Amino acid sequence: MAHRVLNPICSSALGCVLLVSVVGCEKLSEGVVREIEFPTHTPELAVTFLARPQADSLVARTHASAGILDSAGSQKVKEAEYTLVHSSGTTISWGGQEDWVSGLGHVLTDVDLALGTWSLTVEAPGFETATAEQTFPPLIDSAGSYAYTAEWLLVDSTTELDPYWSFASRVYELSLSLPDRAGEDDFFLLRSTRRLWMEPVPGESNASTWLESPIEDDPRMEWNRSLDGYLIQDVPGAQALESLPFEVYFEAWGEGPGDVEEMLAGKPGLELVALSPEAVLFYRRLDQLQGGGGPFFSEPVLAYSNISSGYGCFGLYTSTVVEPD
Amino acid sequence: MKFTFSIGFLVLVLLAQGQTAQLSGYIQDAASGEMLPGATIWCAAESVGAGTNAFGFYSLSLPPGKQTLTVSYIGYAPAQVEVELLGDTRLDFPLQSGVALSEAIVLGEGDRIEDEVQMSKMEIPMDQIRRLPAIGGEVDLLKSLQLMPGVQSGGEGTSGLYVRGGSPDQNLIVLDGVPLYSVSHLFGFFSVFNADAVKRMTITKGGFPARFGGRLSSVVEVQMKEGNMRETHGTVNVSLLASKLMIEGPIVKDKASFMISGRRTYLDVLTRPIINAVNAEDPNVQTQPRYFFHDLNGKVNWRIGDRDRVYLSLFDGTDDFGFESTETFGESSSYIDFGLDWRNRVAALRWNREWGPKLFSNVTLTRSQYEFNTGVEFRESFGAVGDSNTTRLASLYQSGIVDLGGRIDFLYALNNRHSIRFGGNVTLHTFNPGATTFQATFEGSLSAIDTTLGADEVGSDEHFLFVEDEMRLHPNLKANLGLHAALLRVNGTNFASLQPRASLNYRLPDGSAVKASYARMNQFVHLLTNEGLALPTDLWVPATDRVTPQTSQQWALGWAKTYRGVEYSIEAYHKAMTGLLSYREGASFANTFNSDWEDQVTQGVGEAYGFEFLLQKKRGNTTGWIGYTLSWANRQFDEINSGNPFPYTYDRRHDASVVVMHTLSDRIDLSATWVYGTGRALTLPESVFRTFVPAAFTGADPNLSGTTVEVPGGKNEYRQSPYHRADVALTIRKEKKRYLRTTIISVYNVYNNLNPFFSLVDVNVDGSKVIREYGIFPIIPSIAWRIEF
Repeated sequence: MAHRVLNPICSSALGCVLLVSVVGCEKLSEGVVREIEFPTHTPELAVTFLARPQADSLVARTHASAGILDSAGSQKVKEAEYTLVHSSGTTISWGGQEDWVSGLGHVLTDVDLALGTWSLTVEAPGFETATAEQTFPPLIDSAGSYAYTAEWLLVDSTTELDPYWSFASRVYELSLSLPDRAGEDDFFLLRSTRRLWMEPVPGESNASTWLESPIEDDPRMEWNRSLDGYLIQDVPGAQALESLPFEVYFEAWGEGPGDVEEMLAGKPGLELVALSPEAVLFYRRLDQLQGGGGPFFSEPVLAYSNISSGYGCFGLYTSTVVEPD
Repeated sequence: MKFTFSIGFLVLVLLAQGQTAQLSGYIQDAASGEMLPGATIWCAAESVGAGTNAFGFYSLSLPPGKQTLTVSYIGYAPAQVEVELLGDTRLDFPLQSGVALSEAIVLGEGDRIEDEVQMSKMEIPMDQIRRLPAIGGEVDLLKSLQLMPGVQSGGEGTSGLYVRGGSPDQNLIVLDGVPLYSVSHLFGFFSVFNADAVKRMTITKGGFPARFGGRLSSVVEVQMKEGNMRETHGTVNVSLLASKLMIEGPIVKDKASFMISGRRTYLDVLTRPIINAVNAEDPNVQTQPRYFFHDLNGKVNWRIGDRDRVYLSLFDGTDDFGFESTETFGESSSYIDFGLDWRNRVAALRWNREWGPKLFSNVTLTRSQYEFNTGVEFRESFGAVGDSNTTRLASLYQSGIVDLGGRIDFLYALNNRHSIRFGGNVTLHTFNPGATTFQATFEGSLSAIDTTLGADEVGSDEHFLFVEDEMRLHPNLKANLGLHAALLRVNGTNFASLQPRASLNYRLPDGSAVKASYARMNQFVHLLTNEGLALPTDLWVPATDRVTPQTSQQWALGWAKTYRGVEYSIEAYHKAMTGLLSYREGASFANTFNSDWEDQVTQGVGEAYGFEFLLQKKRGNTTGWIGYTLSWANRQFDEINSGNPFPYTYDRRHDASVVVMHTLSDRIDLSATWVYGTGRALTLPESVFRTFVPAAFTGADPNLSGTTVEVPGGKNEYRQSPYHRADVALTIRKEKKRYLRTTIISVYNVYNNLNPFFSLVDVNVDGSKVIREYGIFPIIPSIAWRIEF
């Protein structure tokens, strides 16, 4: 009895299963679009302004944040107006359409910001005003109260000069000691000024410098992809920032010996930057947001910003070039 | 005076004990001689009963004289036996197996849910598990547990257990008394337990007796078959994914038996012709992917005299995934070999002794090993006329854990009011939280590299003592009170904990029972895992001086009653957890390749609470259950989500399951399941903004380089679509002269609901963005055959 009932049921069910399987495979590859109720996103100002004293020009850039499903994305805000106020009362204003330089942003020229604390206010029509406050780290230099020392040792040198194609490399060991203020957090960035991607013209003469830390998992430093250099911080312990070891690789190549010799004379330039702590936090978190192993493998990261009522980063820094003598 | 009083008391006790006879022995399967753990023996006239322990042993005090006893066990015909007790008596009871028992059979007391002191404990009989629908016809024990209230799956197709808001590492899963660290095959889609080799499986979600310890959320006890003592039998299973063979039989009739079982998948074998055809099209490019898993179970059971038994259990489960590829260009070639494998090996030697009618002991020596390896080897050879140059690069990542353990358990049936268990355990752990070996050889002047980086092995020793007393305080009030004392010693740091346990059962006048329990638990090991996906890369790590143990306190209150053959139970629970471990924001197992795992983690607290409802019918032509869970599970870590509490990834407000098994005739069974669960909690990006980095921090270059940043919302603030799915299976049996053939036709996900496995923000062709959910299992019909001989 049961079989008589089951036979037609089985045939029909098999047909249904085959039909649904075909539809099912399509759904499998295409996925299923799902409406998720995101909270309505109110665009906010996303400000990036990193400033230093004694600069020919400083560039601020402001975009409007956008909801994740907004296909237009984060648009630039050319109307943004910036006001910098020093704790002494000095005020600097710029921005708007007239200071907008295509490809750059809002450019502030011929400015020498005094050390100390600055507050930034960014206003644009239709947006809530964004504010932030930052304090300059001391001027980093090879002399003075906030001085670094760098000891260079050339450990390897190769030069192959040829009329058609020449190549030269230098390997240095750099021992860098950085200032470490008592009771203050000190943050630095060390990176190359001749990064290869900056002038990627194949077949032409070029030079590049890169640096590596010979110590694995040195708690004082970490590579930051966004800033393309090592972020260095003081850690508990006396003289934590003394004798930081680096290996510096400098290569030059070109079609003729002259080009290469000229570039070798240019030295392997490094920039040493003393950064305000909030800028370091921002770029560290930016690295985590951009990096990781994808949605399955890393714990999600929340964004960091020191801009109130907005996104982005207002950071102050002092900097210098570090080169072998 | 004191001395006289003591003597008098002792005489009274002896006189009192002298008025009872101790009945003890084993309850066993009549056909195979296998012991039946969890069976009950009940004397209605005296309103006393006892259950068998894990080895089928019982002990019951009764007044001398003629007594009528009911002996029962799920899936077996109950037996009513009259015995004449003249003194202490040893008696074994055989029970006849019956697949579908009549609903008319009246259960003996002691066999009903309201009789048990233990709450939050569930068992699905193995014969029911074998009839449940399964993906590819491959019956999975842990997935069947996911159909019970309070037990959730981690996601589509996976066999991980999330019990009452706990994580999978908080489940103590023991196979013949040995804890297993990884219980999954095929990246979590199948469990390592071969249903043909298993006799019984139970799960305890709360109210843990003191004999259990070391995990916070559940105890899953899996017992392998001991082997038929009387006849040689076997089963052969063939499904679309794997084949299995199990043989059991006597070594010496009624003295010693064996059981051996093996399973292997053959996806690699089935796909080989396709791969060979693809490789034949281009002889210069040869690729060989591979994936298989196999497991082997073995057990020997030897009865030495009337009072001693020795068991040897062995298990080996291996997964092997990888591919090899060779490309040839003239005289040059490149070769890559990628492999990822993980393996469980377990051995247990147990000795049971019945010291007398009241005292039973079990000594267990165990070894459990879990290892995970992944490696890649790359070889490149450049050939030119009269010259060649070969380079080899290889890296191998290895992690694992090895446990050596010894345990002794005693059961002392003092009288019908007190049944005392006590014992102790020592486990020596060796953790290898991950080490990477790099090797490189070059032709020419460059020197070879052979170095190992990563965390060092960590050794620790874990000890515990326990005592528990299952007592009858009043005709209507039963209790199990106990204490579990544990100690971990690791790297010069000691962690000690005292864990009180209590369970109460109060019988109401209408025959139903109110139950309550409290359990404090401690866990000295953590599983370092990303919440997104359970992988074999998950690391088992010990508590250390920087990482504290996990603890929990769980309260539960419930009500249970059997009415017209249907068990009804409602339970409410609250569990508070501390010392939970998580990767820091942005960290993953990949970070542990090169740095210390302790730097990658952070600890926090958790809370879970909810209500569970279960209606279960275990006997009759139609059996099954309806389960529903309403629950909340939250976490809080100071260094995650800005310190704000957030829903646990597997926080599931509603979780429901309906399971129906119906016997149409002697030859045909039909079964169906339907499950529903609130969507998994997930973190999604809510907004985007552009930000920039100066091209130079010195000099005059004013350029900036920009990037778009996706800003996630709060952790686990969003939900995937709800999960729901129906499966059906048809089991057709055909009795042949020498064997029984069973055909199992099943359809997984009958109405083809594409349940989300992961979700992404995706960009359409027109540039618009959408949230897209991807599933992995559409409707999957399958067929499997089983031959029993």
